[in-house]
Amino acid sequence: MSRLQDLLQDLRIMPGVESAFLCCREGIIAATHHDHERQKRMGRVFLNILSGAFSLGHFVREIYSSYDTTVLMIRPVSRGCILVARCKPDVTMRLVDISLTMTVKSIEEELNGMDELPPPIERRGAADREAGAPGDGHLRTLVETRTEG
Amino acid sequence: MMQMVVIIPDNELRSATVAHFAANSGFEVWGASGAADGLAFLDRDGAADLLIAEVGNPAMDGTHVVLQFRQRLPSLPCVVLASAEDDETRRFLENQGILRYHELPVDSEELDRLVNEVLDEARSLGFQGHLQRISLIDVVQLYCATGKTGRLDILHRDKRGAIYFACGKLLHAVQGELEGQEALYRLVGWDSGTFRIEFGVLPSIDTLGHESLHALLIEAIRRQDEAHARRGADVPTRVETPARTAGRSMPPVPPPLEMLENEPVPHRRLPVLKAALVNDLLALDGVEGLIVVNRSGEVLQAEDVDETEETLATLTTFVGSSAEAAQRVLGAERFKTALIVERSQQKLLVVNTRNFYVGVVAGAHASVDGLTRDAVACIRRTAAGREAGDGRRDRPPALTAAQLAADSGSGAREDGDA
Repeated sequence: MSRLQDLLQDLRIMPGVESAFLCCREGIIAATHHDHERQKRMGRVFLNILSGAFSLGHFVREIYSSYDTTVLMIRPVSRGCILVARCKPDVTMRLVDISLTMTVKSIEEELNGMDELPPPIERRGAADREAGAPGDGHLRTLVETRTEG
Repeated sequence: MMQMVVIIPDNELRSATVAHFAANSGFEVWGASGAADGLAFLDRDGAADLLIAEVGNPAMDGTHVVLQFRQRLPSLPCVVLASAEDDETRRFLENQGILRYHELPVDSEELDRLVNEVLDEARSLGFQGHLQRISLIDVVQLYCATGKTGRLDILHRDKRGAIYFACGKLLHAVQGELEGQEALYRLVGWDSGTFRIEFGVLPSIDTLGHESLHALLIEAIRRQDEAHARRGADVPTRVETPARTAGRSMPPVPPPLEMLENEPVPHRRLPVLKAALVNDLLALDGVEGLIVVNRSGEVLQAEDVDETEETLATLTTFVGSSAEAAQRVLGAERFKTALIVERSQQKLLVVNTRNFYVGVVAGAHASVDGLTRDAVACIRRTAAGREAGDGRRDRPPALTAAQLAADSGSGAREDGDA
């Protein structure tokens, strides 16, 4: 799991990239920031676009969605997941594009090596707590430490 | 035609004042004996251009009378007369859009001044005009194309009617006993009279929403021509209006009936993008076609996308509305553009405007970076050209160019490159 987390954190090194998350139908699998509810809703919207476009016969490779102060770059990843990078509006698309391609490749390798997809972060916390593991709190601390660091 | 002023007096507004005002003003005045009488007059006659009500009516409080009148005629300008200054009532009425709150006593001259002021003010708030100068079809088209919501009140001799539209669609039409299509055809057949727009008013029923705007207008034009022919008019087509001669994107003179019957309705589509803007967009590197759809997915314009039009319209609407849904998740941010790149490297750029989505289709060699930037810059350039030509009577309406520039071209990313 931390490998996925590391890959997303690496993406944040790119200038202009503010945050990133990996999302599947069930929820957020990995994220650089702890805003999972919003990320999940956003992820669902783009998963919908992908499946809608697919049903119309379009195989989407990437989506760039531009807002007032944000550009979202979305890449479908294997096993029905998407990678969403939230960038500043002045981001150099081509630069982030290259990083995204590399990150997607690494994430796909990681996901394909798993027997099943990891549970969404919000569920993981509860499961880990039941098992006495550090869980979500630990993850949050880890992310925040990395972000600040 | 004289304007009708309905007055509902109470204790302080003397009947002598009302009588003097009625005799000396240039208005037709109905002095109601009370609130019920005033409402009965409105129900019976259905016509009033201004209401003057005195607050403190014993049977029905003056403020409620005003609200009841406004319920029947939402655009009705009102003057409320009160015997004492009451800030709370004033605030309440102002929130209801009541135009004037005045303290009593008032004499007939002051009343005349008040009425003229309020009517002038009311005229400046809404858009109104004469059907001799602009045809109703042009007015309907204009408001539907700009996605406005409201009601168009039409007065022709002693007849009244109304057409409701919302977000670019016709919703309802009513004229006397007639409703829906028949009412619409009757109304657009009126070649004289006045009209007035009241924005933000929705009908209680929807009799036209399922019909295509273009089909309705074409049928209206056809009927108009038939009526002209029956009356032995020399020219079996519509009256030339200044707007049409100024080169605006109005429908062309309809062909003979037999051609209309064989012609599929989509070909009568009215372009919403100026030809210059379309040419500029199509000239961009890699751009193969474009499509304009409204929020409901109805195709408003399509250029060079004949075979894929339907799918493209669906995809453009779907992407646009989904990206707007993501906008709500993001908070206050406004969705501007979405670029979809397929595995085959085909691209679809969806540009969001206030009233519709523009889908720009580009081939494999169009650059991801350049397409959004160039398309938005192109739109901005067209808008800038329009601004430079501002003041010319024959300038293009450029409703899309201006809106597109306002809505999608102000982003920092595009600004830098435009």
